[in-house]
Amino acid sequence: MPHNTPDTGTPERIFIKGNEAIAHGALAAGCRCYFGYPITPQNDIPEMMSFALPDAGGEFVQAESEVASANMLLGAAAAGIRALTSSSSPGISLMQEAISYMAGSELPGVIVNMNRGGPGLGDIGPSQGDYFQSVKGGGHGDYKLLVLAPATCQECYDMMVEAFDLAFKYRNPVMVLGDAIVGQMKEPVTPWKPAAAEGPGSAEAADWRLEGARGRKPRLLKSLFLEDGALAGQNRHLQAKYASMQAEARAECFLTDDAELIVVAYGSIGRIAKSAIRKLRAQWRSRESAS
Amino acid sequence: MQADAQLALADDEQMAFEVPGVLVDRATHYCPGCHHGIAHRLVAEVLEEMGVVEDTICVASIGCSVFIYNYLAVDSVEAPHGRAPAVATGVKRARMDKIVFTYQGDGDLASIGLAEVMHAANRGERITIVFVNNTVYGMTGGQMAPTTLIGQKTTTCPGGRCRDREGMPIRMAEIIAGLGGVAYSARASLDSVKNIRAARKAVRKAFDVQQQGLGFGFVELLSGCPTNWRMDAVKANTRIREEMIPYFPLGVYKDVTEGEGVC
Ligand SMILES: Cc1ncc(C[n+]2csc(CCOP(=O)(O)OP(=O)(O)O)c2C)c(N)n1
Ligand code: SF4
Ligand SMILES: [Mg+2]
Repeated sequence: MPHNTPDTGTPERIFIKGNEAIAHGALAAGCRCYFGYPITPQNDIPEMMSFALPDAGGEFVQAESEVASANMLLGAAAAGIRALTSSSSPGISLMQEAISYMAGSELPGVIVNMNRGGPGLGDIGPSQGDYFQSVKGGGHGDYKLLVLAPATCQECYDMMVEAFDLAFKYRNPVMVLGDAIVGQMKEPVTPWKPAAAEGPGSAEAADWRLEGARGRKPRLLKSLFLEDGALAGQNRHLQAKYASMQAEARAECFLTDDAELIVVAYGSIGRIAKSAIRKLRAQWRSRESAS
Repeated sequence: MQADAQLALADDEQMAFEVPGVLVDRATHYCPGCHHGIAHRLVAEVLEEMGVVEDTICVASIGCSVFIYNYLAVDSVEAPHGRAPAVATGVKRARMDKIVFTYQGDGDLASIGLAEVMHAANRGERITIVFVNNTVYGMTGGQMAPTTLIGQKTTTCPGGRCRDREGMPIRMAEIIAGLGGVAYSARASLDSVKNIRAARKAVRKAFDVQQQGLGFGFVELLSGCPTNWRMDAVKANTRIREEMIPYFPLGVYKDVTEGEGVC
Protein backbone atom coordinates (compact mmCIF):
# COMPACT_ATOMS: atom_id res chain seq x y z
CA MET A 1 0.00 0.00 0.00
CA PRO A 2 1.46 3.43 -0.89
CA HIS A 3 2.20 5.32 2.29
CA ASN A 4 -0.19 8.15 1.49
CA THR A 5 -3.27 6.05 0.90
CA PRO A 6 -5.37 6.32 4.03
CA ASP A 7 -6.39 2.93 5.34
CA THR A 8 -7.56 3.60 8.80
CA GLY A 9 -8.15 -0.07 9.50
CA THR A 10 -4.51 -1.20 9.43
CA PRO A 11 -2.73 -1.60 12.73
CA GLU A 12 0.64 -1.35 10.97
CA ARG A 13 2.79 1.67 11.39
CA ILE A 14 2.96 4.11 8.48
CA PHE A 15 5.60 6.76 7.89
CA ILE A 16 3.77 10.00 7.11
CA LYS A 17 3.81 13.78 7.54
CA GLY A 18 1.88 15.49 10.32
CA ASN A 19 -0.45 16.97 7.72
CA GLU A 20 -1.14 13.50 6.35
CA ALA A 21 -1.72 12.19 9.86
CA ILE A 22 -4.31 14.96 10.29
CA ALA A 23 -6.15 13.71 7.20
CA HIS A 24 -5.86 10.04 8.25
CA GLY A 25 -7.14 10.90 11.73
CA ALA A 26 -10.07 12.91 10.35
CA LEU A 27 -11.11 10.03 8.10
CA ALA A 28 -10.85 7.57 10.96
CA ALA A 29 -13.02 9.88 13.06
CA GLY A 30 -15.80 9.75 10.46
CA CYS A 31 -15.23 13.15 8.81
CA ARG A 32 -17.66 13.37 5.87
CA CYS A 33 -17.01 16.82 4.42
CA TYR A 34 -13.84 18.82 3.88
CA PHE A 35 -13.77 22.45 2.73
CA GLY A 36 -10.53 24.36 2.19
CA TYR A 37 -8.41 26.80 0.23
CA PRO A 38 -4.73 26.24 -0.61
CA ILE A 39 -2.09 27.72 1.69
CA THR A 40 1.39 26.60 2.75
CA PRO A 41 2.31 24.73 4.99
CA GLN A 42 -0.81 22.56 5.12
CA ASN A 43 -1.57 21.71 1.49
CA ASP A 44 -1.07 17.97 2.06
CA ILE A 45 -4.35 18.00 4.01
CA PRO A 46 -6.67 19.19 1.19
CA GLU A 47 -4.63 17.24 -1.36
CA MET A 48 -5.16 13.98 0.53
CA MET A 49 -8.79 14.76 1.33
CA SER A 50 -9.52 15.50 -2.34
CA PHE A 51 -9.08 11.86 -3.26
CA ALA A 52 -9.61 10.04 0.03
CA LEU A 53 -12.88 11.67 1.09
CA PRO A 54 -14.90 10.89 -2.08
CA ASP A 55 -13.59 7.30 -1.79
CA ALA A 56 -14.97 7.23 1.75
CA GLY A 57 -18.39 8.45 0.54
CA GLY A 58 -17.84 12.07 1.57
CA GLU A 59 -17.61 15.45 -0.14
CA PHE A 60 -14.53 17.54 -0.85
CA VAL A 61 -14.90 21.19 -1.93
CA GLN A 62 -12.04 23.50 -2.83
CA ALA A 63 -13.67 26.73 -1.72
CA GLU A 64 -13.21 30.15 -3.32
CA SER A 65 -11.66 31.51 -0.10
CA GLU A 66 -11.20 30.70 3.56
CA VAL A 67 -14.20 32.94 4.22
CA ALA A 68 -16.26 30.50 2.17
CA SER A 69 -14.64 27.32 3.52
CA ALA A 70 -15.43 28.26 7.12
CA ASN A 71 -19.01 29.08 6.16
CA MET A 72 -19.34 25.76 4.33
CA LEU A 73 -18.13 24.15 7.55
CA LEU A 74 -20.89 26.04 9.38
CA GLY A 75 -23.48 24.71 6.91
CA ALA A 76 -22.31 21.10 7.12
CA ALA A 77 -22.24 21.40 10.92
CA ALA A 78 -25.85 22.64 10.87
CA ALA A 79 -26.73 19.39 9.09
CA GLY A 80 -25.12 17.56 12.01
CA ILE A 81 -22.28 15.83 10.20
CA ARG A 82 -18.58 15.68 11.01
CA ALA A 83 -16.83 18.25 8.84
CA LEU A 84 -13.37 19.76 8.64
CA THR A 85 -11.52 22.75 7.31
CA SER A 86 -7.81 23.44 7.51
CA SER A 87 -5.60 26.40 6.77
CA SER A 88 -2.67 28.40 8.03
CA SER A 89 -2.55 31.75 9.80
CA PRO A 90 -3.66 34.29 7.11
CA GLY A 91 -6.50 31.96 6.12
CA ILE A 92 -7.50 31.43 9.74
CA SER A 93 -7.89 35.20 10.10
CA LEU A 94 -10.45 35.11 7.28
CA MET A 95 -12.39 32.34 9.03
CA GLN A 96 -12.94 34.20 12.28
CA GLU A 97 -16.38 35.60 11.40
CA ALA A 98 -17.79 32.15 10.64
CA ILE A 99 -16.11 30.63 13.69
CA SER A 100 -17.75 33.30 15.86
CA TYR A 101 -21.14 32.49 14.29
CA MET A 102 -20.54 28.78 14.89
CA ALA A 103 -19.72 29.42 18.55
CA GLY A 104 -22.79 31.66 18.90
CA SER A 105 -25.05 29.13 17.16
CA GLU A 106 -23.40 26.20 19.03
CA LEU A 107 -22.30 24.31 15.95
CA PRO A 108 -19.57 21.66 16.10
CA GLY A 109 -16.75 21.56 13.57
CA VAL A 110 -13.00 21.09 13.42
CA ILE A 111 -10.57 23.73 12.19
CA VAL A 112 -6.89 22.88 11.72
CA ASN A 113 -4.37 25.74 11.85
CA MET A 114 -0.82 24.90 10.78
CA ASN A 115 0.49 28.13 12.24
CA ARG A 116 3.01 30.08 10.12
CA GLY A 117 4.86 33.31 10.83
CA GLY A 118 3.08 36.65 10.93
CA PRO A 119 1.84 39.35 11.15
CA GLY A 120 0.65 39.97 7.63
CA LEU A 121 1.95 37.58 5.02
CA GLY A 122 4.83 36.79 7.40
CA ASP A 123 6.67 33.70 6.23
CA ILE A 124 5.90 30.02 5.77
CA GLY A 125 8.01 28.82 8.68
CA PRO A 126 6.77 27.50 12.02
CA SER A 127 5.36 29.99 14.50
CA GLN A 128 3.18 30.03 17.58
CA GLY A 129 2.05 33.60 16.94
CA ASP A 130 -1.62 32.60 16.70
CA TYR A 131 -1.71 31.27 20.26
CA PHE A 132 -3.84 34.06 21.71
CA GLN A 133 -6.13 34.19 18.67
CA SER A 134 -6.70 30.44 19.11
CA VAL A 135 -7.28 30.17 22.84
CA LYS A 136 -9.02 33.48 23.58
CA GLY A 137 -11.67 33.30 20.88
CA GLY A 138 -10.25 34.96 17.79
CA GLY A 139 -13.30 36.59 16.24
CA HIS A 140 -15.84 39.06 17.61
CA GLY A 141 -17.83 38.43 20.77
CA ASP A 142 -17.09 36.59 23.95
CA TYR A 143 -16.52 32.95 23.03
CA LYS A 144 -14.00 30.17 23.36
CA LEU A 145 -12.81 27.23 21.30
CA LEU A 146 -11.40 23.97 22.53
CA VAL A 147 -7.82 23.93 21.24
CA LEU A 148 -5.69 20.78 20.91
CA ALA A 149 -2.00 21.11 20.10
CA PRO A 150 -0.25 18.03 18.69
CA ALA A 151 3.52 17.72 19.06
CA THR A 152 4.02 14.47 17.12
CA CYS A 153 2.56 12.93 13.99
CA GLN A 154 0.86 10.28 16.13
CA GLU A 155 -0.76 13.08 18.16
CA CYS A 156 -1.92 14.69 14.91
CA TYR A 157 -3.84 11.48 14.22
CA ASP A 158 -5.08 10.90 17.75
CA MET A 159 -6.12 14.50 18.36
CA MET A 160 -8.23 14.63 15.21
CA VAL A 161 -10.33 11.80 16.59
CA GLU A 162 -10.56 13.57 19.90
CA ALA A 163 -11.33 16.92 18.23
CA PHE A 164 -14.45 15.56 16.54
CA ASP A 165 -15.63 13.88 19.73
CA LEU A 166 -15.17 17.09 21.74
CA ALA A 167 -16.82 19.26 19.07
CA PHE A 168 -20.00 17.17 19.23
CA LYS A 169 -19.84 16.64 23.00
CA TYR A 170 -19.86 20.41 23.59
CA ARG A 171 -21.49 21.55 20.31
CA ASN A 172 -18.59 23.91 19.84
CA PRO A 173 -15.91 24.52 17.22
CA VAL A 174 -12.60 22.81 18.05
CA MET A 175 -9.23 23.95 16.76
CA VAL A 176 -6.25 21.69 16.19
CA LEU A 177 -3.25 23.99 16.41
CA GLY A 178 -0.03 22.79 14.83
CA ASP A 179 2.70 24.65 13.03
CA ALA A 180 4.92 24.34 9.98
CA ILE A 181 7.18 21.83 11.82
CA VAL A 182 4.34 19.61 13.06
CA GLY A 183 2.67 19.63 9.63
CA GLN A 184 5.77 18.96 7.54
CA MET A 185 7.83 16.52 9.63
CA LYS A 186 7.56 12.77 8.98
CA GLU A 187 7.22 10.19 11.74
CA PRO A 188 5.85 6.70 12.15
CA VAL A 189 2.14 6.70 12.99
CA THR A 190 0.00 3.77 14.10
CA PRO A 191 -3.49 4.26 12.70
CA TRP A 192 -6.40 3.02 14.78
CA LYS A 193 -10.12 2.93 14.23
CA PRO A 194 -12.18 4.68 16.90
CA ALA A 195 -15.13 2.71 18.22
CA ALA A 196 -17.82 5.22 17.34
CA ALA A 197 -16.91 6.81 14.02
CA GLU A 198 -20.15 8.62 13.35
CA GLY A 199 -21.62 9.57 9.98
CA PRO A 200 -24.70 11.38 8.71
CA GLY A 201 -27.84 10.07 10.33
CA SER A 202 -25.88 9.18 13.45
CA ALA A 203 -27.24 9.70 16.92
CA GLU A 204 -24.83 12.36 18.11
CA ALA A 205 -26.69 15.26 16.47
CA ALA A 206 -30.16 13.71 16.27
CA ASP A 207 -31.84 16.19 18.59
CA TRP A 208 -30.65 19.41 16.94
CA ARG A 209 -29.42 18.88 13.37
CA LEU A 210 -31.32 20.30 10.40
CA GLU A 211 -32.78 17.72 8.03
CA GLY A 212 -36.24 19.07 7.23
CA ALA A 213 -39.01 19.32 9.82
CA ARG A 214 -40.63 15.92 9.23
CA GLY A 215 -43.19 15.15 11.92
CA ARG A 216 -41.72 17.68 14.30
CA LYS A 217 -41.49 21.44 14.85
CA PRO A 218 -38.99 23.34 12.67
CA ARG A 219 -35.53 23.82 14.14
CA LEU A 220 -33.56 27.02 14.06
CA LEU A 221 -29.81 27.44 14.42
CA LYS A 222 -28.85 31.08 14.90
CA SER A 223 -26.73 33.50 16.85
CA LEU A 224 -29.10 36.51 16.70
CA PHE A 225 -30.86 37.15 20.01
CA LEU A 226 -32.68 40.47 19.87
CA GLU A 227 -35.44 40.01 22.42
CA ASP A 228 -35.02 41.74 25.75
CA GLY A 229 -32.51 39.81 27.86
CA ALA A 230 -32.19 36.97 25.36
CA LEU A 231 -28.55 37.59 24.42
CA ALA A 232 -27.52 37.95 28.07
CA GLY A 233 -29.16 34.59 28.74
CA GLN A 234 -27.42 32.97 25.77
CA ASN A 235 -24.07 34.38 26.86
CA ARG A 236 -24.54 33.10 30.41
CA HIS A 237 -25.33 29.69 28.96
CA LEU A 238 -22.22 29.82 26.76
CA GLN A 239 -19.99 30.96 29.62
CA ALA A 240 -21.23 28.06 31.77
CA LYS A 241 -20.40 25.71 28.89
CA TYR A 242 -16.91 27.18 28.52
CA ALA A 243 -16.37 26.72 32.27
CA SER A 244 -17.39 23.05 31.97
CA MET A 245 -14.99 22.63 29.01
CA GLN A 246 -12.20 23.42 31.44
CA ALA A 247 -12.47 19.77 32.57
CA GLU A 248 -10.83 18.81 29.26
CA ALA A 249 -7.64 20.79 29.97
CA ARG A 250 -4.65 18.49 30.04
CA ALA A 251 -0.89 18.68 29.94
CA GLU A 252 1.99 16.25 29.84
CA CYS A 253 4.28 16.70 32.86
CA PHE A 254 7.92 15.99 32.20
CA LEU A 255 10.36 15.86 35.16
CA THR A 256 8.27 18.36 37.10
CA ASP A 257 8.27 16.60 40.51
CA ASP A 258 11.55 18.03 41.77
CA ALA A 259 11.67 21.01 39.44
CA GLU A 260 12.59 24.50 40.64
CA LEU A 261 11.87 25.97 37.26
CA ILE A 262 9.06 24.72 35.00
CA VAL A 263 9.02 25.47 31.27
CA VAL A 264 5.51 25.59 29.83
CA ALA A 265 5.26 24.99 26.08
CA TYR A 266 3.08 23.28 23.50
CA GLY A 267 3.44 21.57 20.16
CA SER A 268 6.80 21.48 18.42
CA ILE A 269 8.25 23.93 20.94
CA GLY A 270 7.18 21.55 23.72
CA ARG A 271 9.41 18.88 22.18
CA ILE A 272 12.30 21.31 21.87
CA ALA A 273 11.76 22.35 25.51
CA LYS A 274 11.93 18.68 26.57
CA SER A 275 15.27 18.23 24.82
CA ALA A 276 16.57 21.43 26.39
CA ILE A 277 15.50 20.26 29.86
CA ARG A 278 17.15 16.89 29.34
CA LYS A 279 20.39 18.58 28.32
CA LEU A 280 20.30 21.09 31.17
CA ARG A 281 19.62 18.37 33.73
CA ALA A 282 22.60 16.39 32.38
CA GLN A 283 24.83 19.50 32.57
CA TRP A 284 23.73 20.23 36.14
CA ARG A 285 24.31 16.63 37.18
CA SER A 286 27.83 16.64 35.75
CA ARG A 287 28.56 20.00 37.40
CA GLU A 288 27.28 18.72 40.79
CA SER A 289 29.40 15.56 40.60
CA ALA A 290 32.46 17.67 39.65
CA SER A 291 32.07 20.04 42.61
CA MET B 1 -67.74 33.51 17.26
CA GLN B 2 -68.31 37.10 16.32
CA ALA B 3 -64.82 37.34 14.86
CA ASP B 4 -65.44 34.17 12.83
CA ALA B 5 -68.64 35.65 11.45
CA GLN B 6 -66.77 38.82 10.53
CA LEU B 7 -64.04 36.78 8.81
CA ALA B 8 -66.50 34.69 6.79
CA LEU B 9 -66.80 35.67 3.14
CA ALA B 10 -69.75 37.84 2.19
CA ASP B 11 -71.93 36.70 -0.71
CA ASP B 12 -70.25 39.04 -3.15
CA GLU B 13 -66.72 38.15 -2.01
CA GLN B 14 -64.40 35.47 -3.39
CA MET B 15 -61.31 33.87 -1.81
CA ALA B 16 -58.44 34.90 -4.08
CA PHE B 17 -55.94 32.40 -2.69
CA GLU B 18 -55.42 30.17 0.32
CA VAL B 19 -52.63 31.10 2.70
CA PRO B 20 -50.01 28.32 2.58
CA GLY B 21 -49.88 26.30 5.80
CA VAL B 22 -46.09 26.64 5.98
CA LEU B 23 -46.50 30.42 6.37
CA VAL B 24 -46.71 31.19 10.09
CA ASP B 25 -49.78 33.22 11.06
CA ARG B 26 -48.27 36.07 13.05
CA ALA B 27 -47.83 39.84 13.01
CA THR B 28 -45.25 40.95 10.45
CA HIS B 29 -42.23 43.10 11.27
CA TYR B 30 -41.98 44.25 7.64
CA CYS B 31 -43.04 47.82 6.82
CA PRO B 32 -46.36 48.49 5.10
CA GLY B 33 -45.94 47.94 1.36
CA CYS B 34 -42.72 45.94 1.74
CA HIS B 35 -42.45 43.11 -0.78
CA HIS B 36 -40.52 40.68 1.44
CA GLY B 37 -43.88 39.32 2.63
CA ILE B 38 -44.98 38.56 -0.93
CA ALA B 39 -41.64 36.91 -1.70
CA HIS B 40 -42.02 34.74 1.44
CA ARG B 41 -45.50 33.70 0.33
CA LEU B 42 -44.30 32.71 -3.13
CA VAL B 43 -41.58 30.52 -1.61
CA ALA B 44 -44.13 29.02 0.79
CA GLU B 45 -46.58 28.26 -2.02
CA VAL B 46 -43.92 26.65 -4.17
CA LEU B 47 -42.56 24.46 -1.36
CA GLU B 48 -46.09 23.26 -0.58
CA GLU B 49 -46.95 22.70 -4.20
CA MET B 50 -43.81 20.59 -4.63
CA GLY B 51 -44.55 18.68 -1.42
CA VAL B 52 -41.05 19.33 -0.04
CA VAL B 53 -41.80 21.43 3.06
CA GLU B 54 -40.57 18.67 5.40
CA ASP B 55 -37.39 18.13 3.40
CA THR B 56 -36.37 21.76 3.12
CA ILE B 57 -33.60 23.67 4.85
CA CYS B 58 -33.62 27.46 4.63
CA VAL B 59 -30.43 29.49 4.90
CA ALA B 60 -31.35 32.95 6.17
CA SER B 61 -29.15 35.93 5.31
CA ILE B 62 -28.53 39.32 6.95
CA GLY B 63 -30.92 42.09 6.01
CA CYS B 64 -34.57 42.86 6.76
CA SER B 65 -35.33 39.22 5.92
CA VAL B 66 -33.03 37.81 8.62
CA PHE B 67 -36.26 36.88 10.41
CA ILE B 68 -37.56 34.74 7.53
CA TYR B 69 -37.54 31.83 9.98
CA ASN B 70 -40.28 33.58 11.95
CA TYR B 71 -42.56 33.31 8.93
CA LEU B 72 -41.58 30.08 7.18
CA ALA B 73 -42.04 26.93 9.26
CA VAL B 74 -39.03 25.02 7.89
CA ASP B 75 -35.67 24.03 9.42
CA SER B 76 -33.41 27.09 9.20
CA VAL B 77 -29.86 28.23 9.81
CA GLU B 78 -28.60 31.79 9.90
CA ALA B 79 -25.59 32.69 7.74
CA PRO B 80 -23.20 35.61 8.25
CA HIS B 81 -23.73 38.63 5.95
CA GLY B 82 -23.26 37.54 2.33
CA ARG B 83 -22.18 33.98 3.14
CA ALA B 84 -25.49 32.19 2.68
CA PRO B 85 -24.43 30.48 -0.60
CA ALA B 86 -21.35 29.03 1.16
CA VAL B 87 -23.43 27.91 4.14
CA ALA B 88 -25.97 26.38 1.75
CA THR B 89 -23.12 24.59 -0.05
CA GLY B 90 -22.11 23.04 3.29
CA VAL B 91 -25.67 22.00 4.14
CA LYS B 92 -26.29 20.53 0.69
CA ARG B 93 -22.97 18.66 0.51
CA ALA B 94 -23.81 17.16 3.89
CA ARG B 95 -27.36 16.27 2.85
CA MET B 96 -27.64 15.91 -0.91
CA ASP B 97 -31.13 14.48 -0.42
CA LYS B 98 -32.59 17.74 0.95
CA ILE B 99 -33.93 20.90 -0.69
CA VAL B 100 -31.70 23.80 0.35
CA PHE B 101 -32.33 27.46 -0.43
CA THR B 102 -31.00 30.87 0.53
CA TYR B 103 -33.02 34.07 0.66
CA GLN B 104 -30.83 37.16 0.24
CA GLY B 105 -31.07 40.90 -0.26
CA ASP B 106 -29.08 42.94 -2.78
CA GLY B 107 -26.54 44.24 -0.27
CA ASP B 108 -26.04 40.74 1.06
CA LEU B 109 -25.78 38.97 -2.29
CA ALA B 110 -24.47 41.53 -4.77
CA SER B 111 -21.98 43.35 -2.55
CA ILE B 112 -20.40 41.56 0.41
CA GLY B 113 -21.43 38.11 -0.83
CA LEU B 114 -20.57 38.42 -4.50
CA ALA B 115 -17.74 35.88 -4.39
CA GLU B 116 -19.82 33.29 -2.56
CA VAL B 117 -22.83 33.49 -4.89
CA MET B 118 -20.76 33.47 -8.06
CA HIS B 119 -18.69 30.47 -7.04
CA ALA B 120 -21.66 28.51 -5.72
CA ALA B 121 -23.36 29.19 -9.07
CA ASN B 122 -20.27 28.30 -11.06
CA ARG B 123 -19.81 25.03 -9.16
CA GLY B 124 -23.42 24.24 -9.97
CA GLU B 125 -24.35 23.66 -6.34
CA ARG B 126 -27.76 22.02 -6.24
CA ILE B 127 -29.29 24.89 -4.31
CA THR B 128 -31.85 27.61 -4.99
CA ILE B 129 -31.30 31.31 -4.37
CA VAL B 130 -34.16 33.76 -3.95
CA PHE B 131 -32.65 37.21 -4.45
CA VAL B 132 -34.68 40.22 -3.35
CA ASN B 133 -33.45 43.34 -5.15
CA ASN B 134 -34.87 46.53 -3.61
CA THR B 135 -31.97 48.82 -4.66
CA VAL B 136 -31.07 49.73 -1.07
CA TYR B 137 -29.69 48.37 2.19
CA GLY B 138 -33.09 48.19 3.84
CA MET B 139 -32.19 46.96 7.29
CA THR B 140 -29.41 49.43 8.02
CA GLY B 141 -31.48 52.44 6.98
CA GLY B 142 -31.38 52.86 3.21
CA GLN B 143 -27.73 53.19 2.25
CA MET B 144 -26.53 52.75 -1.33
CA ALA B 145 -26.56 49.18 -2.60
CA PRO B 146 -24.71 47.74 -5.61
CA THR B 147 -28.12 47.77 -7.34
CA THR B 148 -28.98 51.41 -6.55
CA LEU B 149 -30.02 53.11 -9.80
CA ILE B 150 -28.10 56.01 -11.34
CA GLY B 151 -29.47 59.22 -9.87
CA GLN B 152 -31.23 57.42 -6.99
CA LYS B 153 -30.74 59.24 -3.70
CA THR B 154 -29.80 57.19 -0.65
CA THR B 155 -28.37 58.11 2.76
CA THR B 156 -24.82 57.46 1.49
CA CYS B 157 -25.26 58.96 -1.97
CA PRO B 158 -27.43 61.90 -0.97
CA GLY B 159 -26.83 63.65 -4.29
CA GLY B 160 -27.90 60.56 -6.22
CA ARG B 161 -25.78 57.65 -7.43
CA CYS B 162 -23.25 58.82 -9.97
CA ARG B 163 -21.71 56.44 -12.50
CA ASP B 164 -18.25 57.99 -12.38
CA ARG B 165 -18.11 57.89 -8.60
CA GLU B 166 -20.06 54.79 -7.59
CA GLY B 167 -20.18 52.71 -10.74
CA MET B 168 -23.18 51.16 -12.43
CA PRO B 169 -25.94 49.14 -10.77
CA ILE B 170 -25.12 45.43 -11.00
CA ARG B 171 -27.44 43.17 -12.98
CA MET B 172 -27.22 39.88 -11.13
CA ALA B 173 -29.62 37.64 -13.06
CA GLU B 174 -27.56 38.24 -16.23
CA ILE B 175 -24.22 37.71 -14.47
CA ILE B 176 -25.38 34.48 -12.83
CA ALA B 177 -26.75 33.21 -16.15
CA GLY B 178 -23.24 33.43 -17.59
CA LEU B 179 -21.70 31.06 -15.03
CA GLY B 180 -20.92 27.39 -15.48
CA GLY B 181 -23.18 25.37 -13.23
CA VAL B 182 -26.36 27.43 -13.54
CA ALA B 183 -29.51 25.59 -14.59
CA TYR B 184 -31.91 28.50 -14.27
CA SER B 185 -31.57 32.25 -13.83
CA ALA B 186 -34.46 34.67 -14.18
CA ARG B 187 -35.64 38.09 -13.09
CA ALA B 188 -39.23 38.79 -12.09
CA SER B 189 -41.01 41.63 -10.29
CA LEU B 190 -43.41 41.91 -7.38
CA ASP B 191 -45.03 45.22 -8.38
CA SER B 192 -48.31 43.91 -9.80
CA VAL B 193 -50.58 40.89 -9.73
CA LYS B 194 -49.56 39.95 -13.25
CA ASN B 195 -45.86 40.14 -12.45
CA ILE B 196 -46.31 38.32 -9.13
CA ARG B 197 -47.92 35.43 -11.02
CA ALA B 198 -44.92 35.30 -13.35
CA ALA B 199 -42.59 35.55 -10.35
CA ARG B 200 -44.24 32.52 -8.78
CA LYS B 201 -43.50 30.49 -11.91
CA ALA B 202 -39.88 31.62 -11.83
CA VAL B 203 -39.53 30.71 -8.15
CA ARG B 204 -41.01 27.29 -8.89
CA LYS B 205 -38.57 26.74 -11.74
CA ALA B 206 -35.62 27.77 -9.58
CA PHE B 207 -36.61 25.03 -7.10
CA ASP B 208 -37.47 22.49 -9.80
CA VAL B 209 -33.98 22.52 -11.30
CA GLN B 210 -32.55 21.81 -7.85
CA GLN B 211 -34.94 18.94 -7.24
CA GLN B 212 -34.13 17.47 -10.65
CA GLY B 213 -30.41 17.73 -9.91
CA LEU B 214 -29.84 19.92 -12.96
CA GLY B 215 -27.81 22.62 -11.23
CA PHE B 216 -28.00 25.99 -9.55
CA GLY B 217 -31.38 27.80 -9.50
CA PHE B 218 -31.51 31.60 -9.23
CA VAL B 219 -34.44 33.99 -9.20
CA GLU B 220 -34.15 37.75 -8.77
CA LEU B 221 -37.27 39.54 -7.53
CA LEU B 222 -37.54 43.31 -8.07
CA SER B 223 -39.05 44.54 -4.81
CA GLY B 224 -40.18 47.71 -3.13
CA CYS B 225 -38.77 49.30 -0.01
CA PRO B 226 -41.26 52.16 0.50
CA THR B 227 -39.65 53.14 3.80
CA ASN B 228 -36.19 53.83 2.44
CA TRP B 229 -37.45 55.06 -0.92
CA ARG B 230 -39.47 57.61 1.10
CA MET B 231 -42.64 56.76 -0.86
CA ASP B 232 -45.99 55.19 -0.21
CA ALA B 233 -46.58 51.63 -1.37
CA VAL B 234 -48.44 52.61 -4.55
CA LYS B 235 -45.70 55.02 -5.64
CA ALA B 236 -43.13 52.32 -4.88
CA ASN B 237 -44.90 49.94 -7.25
CA THR B 238 -44.94 52.65 -9.91
CA ARG B 239 -41.21 53.23 -9.38
CA ILE B 240 -40.50 49.54 -9.96
CA ARG B 241 -42.39 49.71 -13.26
CA GLU B 242 -41.05 53.02 -14.48
CA GLU B 243 -37.48 53.04 -13.20
CA MET B 244 -36.36 49.57 -12.16
CA ILE B 245 -37.76 47.34 -14.90
CA PRO B 246 -36.27 49.43 -17.74
CA TYR B 247 -32.78 48.95 -16.23
CA PHE B 248 -33.39 45.45 -14.84
CA PRO B 249 -35.34 43.76 -17.68
CA LEU B 250 -37.62 40.93 -16.64
CA GLY B 251 -37.07 37.55 -18.23
CA VAL B 252 -35.40 34.18 -18.19
CA TYR B 253 -31.67 34.50 -18.76
CA LYS B 254 -30.84 30.84 -18.59
CA ASP B 255 -32.97 27.72 -18.52
CA VAL B 256 -31.26 24.43 -19.27
CA THR B 257 -34.63 22.73 -19.58
CA GLU B 258 -35.29 24.97 -22.61
CA GLY B 259 -31.90 24.85 -24.30
CA GLU B 260 -29.70 27.73 -23.27
CA GLY B 261 -32.63 30.07 -22.65
CA VAL B 262 -33.62 33.45 -24.02
CA CYS B 263 -32.03 36.78 -23.41
C1 LIG C 1 -20.17 41.81 8.25
C2 LIG C 1 -21.36 42.70 8.35
N1 LIG C 1 -21.31 43.94 7.82
C3 LIG C 1 -22.37 44.75 7.91
C4 LIG C 1 -23.52 44.34 8.53
C5 LIG C 1 -24.67 45.28 8.67
N2 LIG C 1 -25.80 44.98 7.78
C6 LIG C 1 -26.91 44.35 8.23
S1 LIG C 1 -28.06 44.17 7.07
C7 LIG C 1 -27.13 44.98 5.92
C8 LIG C 1 -27.62 45.28 4.54
C9 LIG C 1 -28.82 44.54 4.13
O1 LIG C 1 -29.22 44.98 2.89
P1 LIG C 1 -29.86 43.99 1.84
O2 LIG C 1 -29.03 42.77 1.73
O3 LIG C 1 -30.08 44.73 0.59
O4 LIG C 1 -31.23 43.53 2.53
P2 LIG C 1 -32.58 44.37 2.75
O5 LIG C 1 -32.56 44.77 4.18
O6 LIG C 1 -32.57 45.51 1.81
O7 LIG C 1 -33.66 43.39 2.45
C10 LIG C 1 -25.93 45.38 6.47
C11 LIG C 1 -24.88 46.11 5.73
C12 LIG C 1 -23.53 43.03 9.08
N3 LIG C 1 -24.60 42.53 9.72
N4 LIG C 1 -22.45 42.24 8.97
S1 SF4 D 1 -36.93 48.77 5.42
FE1 SF4 D 1 -37.58 48.31 3.33
S2 SF4 D 1 -36.98 46.17 2.97
FE2 SF4 D 1 -36.94 46.54 5.19
S3 SF4 D 1 -38.97 45.91 5.94
FE3 SF4 D 1 -39.07 48.12 5.53
S4 SF4 D 1 -39.80 48.28 3.43
FE4 SF4 D 1 -39.10 46.17 3.71
MG1 LIG E 1 -31.82 45.50 -0.20
